[in-house]
Amino acid sequence: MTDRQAIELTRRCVRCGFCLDACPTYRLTRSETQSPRGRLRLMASVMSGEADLNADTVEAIDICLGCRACETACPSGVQYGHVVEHFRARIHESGIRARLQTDVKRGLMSAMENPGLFATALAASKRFSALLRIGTPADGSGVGSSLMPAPVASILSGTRGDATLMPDTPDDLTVGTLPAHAPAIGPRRATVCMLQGCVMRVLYHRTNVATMRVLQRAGCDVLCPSDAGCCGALDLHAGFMAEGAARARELIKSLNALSFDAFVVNSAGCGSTIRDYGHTLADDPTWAKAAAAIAARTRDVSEFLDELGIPAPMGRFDAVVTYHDACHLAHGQGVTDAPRRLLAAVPGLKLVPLRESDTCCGSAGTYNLTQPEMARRLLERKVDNIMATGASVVAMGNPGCMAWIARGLKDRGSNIRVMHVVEILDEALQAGERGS
Amino acid sequence: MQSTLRNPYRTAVEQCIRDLQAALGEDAILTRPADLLAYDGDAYPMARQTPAAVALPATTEQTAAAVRLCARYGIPFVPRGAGTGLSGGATPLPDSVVISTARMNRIIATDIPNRRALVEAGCTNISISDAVAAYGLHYAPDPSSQGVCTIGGNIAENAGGPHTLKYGVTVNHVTGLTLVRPSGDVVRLGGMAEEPSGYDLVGLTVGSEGTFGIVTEAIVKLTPVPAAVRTLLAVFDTVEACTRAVVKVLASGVIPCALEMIDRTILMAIEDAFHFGFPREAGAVLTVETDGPEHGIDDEAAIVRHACMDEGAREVRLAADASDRARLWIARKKGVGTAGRLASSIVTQDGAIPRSKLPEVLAAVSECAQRHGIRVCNIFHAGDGNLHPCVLYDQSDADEAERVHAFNEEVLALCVAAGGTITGEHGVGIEKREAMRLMFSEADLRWMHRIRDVFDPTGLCNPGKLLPPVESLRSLNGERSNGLPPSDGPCELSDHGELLPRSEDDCREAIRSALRERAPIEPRGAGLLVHLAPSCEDQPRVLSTRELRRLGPLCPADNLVTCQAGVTFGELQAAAAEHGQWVPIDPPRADEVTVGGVVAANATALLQARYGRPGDAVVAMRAISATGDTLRTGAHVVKNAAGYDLGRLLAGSHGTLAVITEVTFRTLPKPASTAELAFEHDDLEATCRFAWEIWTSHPELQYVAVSLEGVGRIAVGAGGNDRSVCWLVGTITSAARQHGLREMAASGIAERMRHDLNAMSPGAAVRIAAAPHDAYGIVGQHALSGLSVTWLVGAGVVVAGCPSEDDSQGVAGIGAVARDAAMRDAAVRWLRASSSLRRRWRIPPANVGEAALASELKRALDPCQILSPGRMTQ
Repeated sequence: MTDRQAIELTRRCVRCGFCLDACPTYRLTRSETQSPRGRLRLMASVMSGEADLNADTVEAIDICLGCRACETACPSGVQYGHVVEHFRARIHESGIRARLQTDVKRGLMSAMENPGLFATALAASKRFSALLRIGTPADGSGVGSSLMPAPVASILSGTRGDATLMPDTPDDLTVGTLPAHAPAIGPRRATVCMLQGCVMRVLYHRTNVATMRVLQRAGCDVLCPSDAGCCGALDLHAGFMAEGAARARELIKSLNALSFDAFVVNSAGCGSTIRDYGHTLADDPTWAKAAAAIAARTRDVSEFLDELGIPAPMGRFDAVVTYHDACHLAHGQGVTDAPRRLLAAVPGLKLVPLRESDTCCGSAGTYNLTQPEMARRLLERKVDNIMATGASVVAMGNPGCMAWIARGLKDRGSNIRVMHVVEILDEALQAGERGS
Repeated sequence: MQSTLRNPYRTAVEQCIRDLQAALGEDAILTRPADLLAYDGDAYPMARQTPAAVALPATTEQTAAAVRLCARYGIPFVPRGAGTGLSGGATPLPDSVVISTARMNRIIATDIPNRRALVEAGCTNISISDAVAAYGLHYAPDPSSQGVCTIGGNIAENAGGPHTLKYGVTVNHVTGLTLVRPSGDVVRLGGMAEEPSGYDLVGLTVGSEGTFGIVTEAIVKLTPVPAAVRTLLAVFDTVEACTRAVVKVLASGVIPCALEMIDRTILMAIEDAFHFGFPREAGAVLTVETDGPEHGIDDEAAIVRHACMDEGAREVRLAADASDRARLWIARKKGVGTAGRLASSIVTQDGAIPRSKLPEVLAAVSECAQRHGIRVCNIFHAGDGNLHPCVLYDQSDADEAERVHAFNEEVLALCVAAGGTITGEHGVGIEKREAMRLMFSEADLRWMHRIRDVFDPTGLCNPGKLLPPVESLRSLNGERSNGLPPSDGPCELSDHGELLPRSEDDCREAIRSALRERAPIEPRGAGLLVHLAPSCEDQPRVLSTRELRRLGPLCPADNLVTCQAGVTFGELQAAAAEHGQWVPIDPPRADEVTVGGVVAANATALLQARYGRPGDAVVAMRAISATGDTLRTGAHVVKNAAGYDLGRLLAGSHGTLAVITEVTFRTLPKPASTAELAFEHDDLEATCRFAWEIWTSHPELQYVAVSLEGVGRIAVGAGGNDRSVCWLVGTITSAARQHGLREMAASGIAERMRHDLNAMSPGAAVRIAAAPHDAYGIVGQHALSGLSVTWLVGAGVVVAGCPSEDDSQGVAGIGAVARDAAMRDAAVRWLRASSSLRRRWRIPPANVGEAALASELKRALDPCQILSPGRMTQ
């Protein structure tokens, strides 16, 4: 995208202000600068040469979560996410940001996008933290992993700060792999290709396994190509457009030879990115068409299952459950009813509403590492709201949210379980199989 | 741009910013260019200016500190809420400080029995409703931006919304304010009671567009969520048929709670945005909503449906369920925003016109748009006649922006020429400041300037907004100000030596000669509602407006009726009744009291609980000021936000600020069915309890009133469609029986209560205005004190009296009630008492700050103290 095109997108904004109260950072700061309307004004001014690109400008844009709640609120249809991604790319190119910060951020992302490297690095980081007793519980129990060491944290956030709160990660850090093909259980109703992802394979292999099982029981032949890697969401989200586009091309290439009805994704951040591939690769004559095609066939797993239906009998899942809307599911993909319908249909499950359910939890890709202060405030608010529901399980559809909210709940001593929607379905289906 | 010379003003600004940072903390003061850009305007696109700084105070005290610093350094400041205003009211001035209330967003307290909430100004409108939803209550005014706009902003603009057709605008729902005055002093106006104790300063401040100071807290009314709602979408081939249907629906006797029109252009944009499945091929659609008790609601929906079909609706859909209804309202409320899909800039006009002129004015607007080569779409409050032509253009195209300006001006002139106003609800702001001259004379504007100067002597509070400059504020002594030759012709005198003007000009000349002679005047109507003798030394000469007898014009299609001040209220009501309408005011002795008197004394009775005071029904007024100028205020529309609400100030001012000569009321269609009931019980407390119960459980009742005088009596009034009235009568009668109340013949009892509420019988009486449940408490406390007590349940009004001033026990009892009421934040005033009794039992003002402001206002508007001096203020 060019500046010109981006400015054109900002011109859709009629400054009605309907986005203000949807924006998590505005809600916390009540400052127009930290609202979508204010940022659009600022970005448009910089791109048209009316204002300077300086440290203040960068800071004002960095504080944006990219949650796109404003897009849901916007009656005028401003594609805020596209504008902010473009602007972030522009910030990287301008060289205004400290080189070290950009490099560490890039490095972190590369690591996360490469499951093997990520697992190793995370394990190493945990050992390092344990050695320095960073984030170790005061009683010395367990391996500490709740905080990121201050030197790395301060480089990432660009501020001199303390150790940063880290998402909750499992102790067993291995890279999970799903079989390349898993047949439908019962009559075959569809053939789907499933994304294993990058972070998912390290942190939430259990969710991938559950997803595959549920899809099988729903009558799907599940393809899971081993060479399908990262979708590039983290890069694109942060404005590393070239790297993100390269990831997108690779993923599309790996799916090219396969034939399937839908590309099913269980990570909201990845799903919303892939569904936007048409835009990402619009200027790439070789890949534009394939990108648009794959985007059109991509479905979040909850949406897909809600449409397809699950014929297998479900057992009981006796729990009070509340549902958190991952930003990139609710705002990025407009999927809000499907997961709730799926959950409400589970026998024994009581679904209770969550206040501000579609407000960002602060995870937002790598935001919790780069903007630790704001992320922590949002997490606290999210955890308050979750705990106020009285639920024993909080369900959601995105790994970033899961790890971050699990951290928040753990630190508050809560034993509320964090589960992916498909994990609940999986448990209910297994119970059904046992005949309970 | 950089100057080597130090500009002293810049230095003051910089010093002010440093002090602001020290006082409020660095985090609360924004000064970086990246920050200031975001504050360079609101949702009005045609004016942009970055301020010198933005202050985000978190408390009233911080706001006061910020304002005090601005005052000290002489820096203008601009109040701001969420910046969703459409008239540029929050547009900064160069080198000004924007003071945003956004961080003051706590709901401080809710009082469910009294149906009040105390909220900070930065609360979003919707957050108030959300906070009390569990109690079946809501905050009724619902501007389209209610999810983001702040209550402070709503108060500044007197914001409306679709449901104001039935429930009224912001001013009808705010009872108290905390105002940081431009000096930095904090004053509380009003309180928990709906009825003001003196001049309606709350009513005047609401809609003052941030020119009186910064409102930091408000007490708002909470309204029961109606038991049943029906929402219909009528589809028309043409806008014209749609507008005809609007008039038809409103003449049908049903009072819809909303009546909204959307034209084809915007309908398509809405479809693109939300994919609701609206008929893309329709010329216009009308959203009509009715609410009330479940009984009879479907009858109302059927009446609406027929009215629409009669005017050629292609189909009328009924919203099937809550989510269907929600979709219709999302479409309406986010509709204007979807226009952003059609153009890069939109500016929404806000003129309001008499409803019957909708077809011709809409046609003229469309012709005007064509002539200027401008695209316009319409999405508006058709029931209120409040147009919102939405202009689609490109602000960066200078030529087009210029044409839009020209178009806007022409449209405003069209609205005014049709008898309407330049703004129904968005306010004047910076956008329509000059257009104020279309509606108001120099004298009118001067009057408004004087009011502004009372509230803001510094001139630093949101300068440049709302009022166009006037030549000067001279002629304070009543010299000629409108070019008319001075007239010495004495006004006709009655047998009793009263001044008896026979025309408005006569009336003006009478005041001018009084000014010359410095001889005070006491304006009166029939003189029946005045029970307090003037307390000034010289007995002022009475000027009665009872000979100003012109009745009309009647505009039933617009639900308006106009008459001069001397017409009796009974005559007015009879004239309206000929067209199946009524003015919802019920003064005692209606066939004798005059319209001017009723408005000046704000004298209504039982209907006040449901329909408010006479001032709430007044849409326009003519009056002679205390400086001898003819004043006009308001317009022939039911909704108007142009300038300060002088009508509301004059209503209830007892002729101390101006002499009312002509009034225009909004009328309502007469309900299809009405019923009056009366009950009696020997146990006074049981009577009160029952009255409170039926009022709280039946919000649709017209009134519930209680009189306690040895025995307890209850009068109940119901009005509405046949089925609902029938149901109400049945329910209440059987409940009364269960509670052991005796049924009585209703005739006579209601009228007796009207008399008592206005202290028409000899003796002494005080009037207490409290929050509804507090009034219940006061009545309960004094039920057995032997006084004659009349209680208007929903309004929180209590009148306590004794038959004679010589009855020392009775007078002492009144004193006890008054003291108790004062403890409960109620406003107490003498309604009937001799000046000696008032001296003996002085009731101090409940709020000294407010009383002082009222006195200042009186001095500014009546500098020679010729209109009933001492009557309302010290």
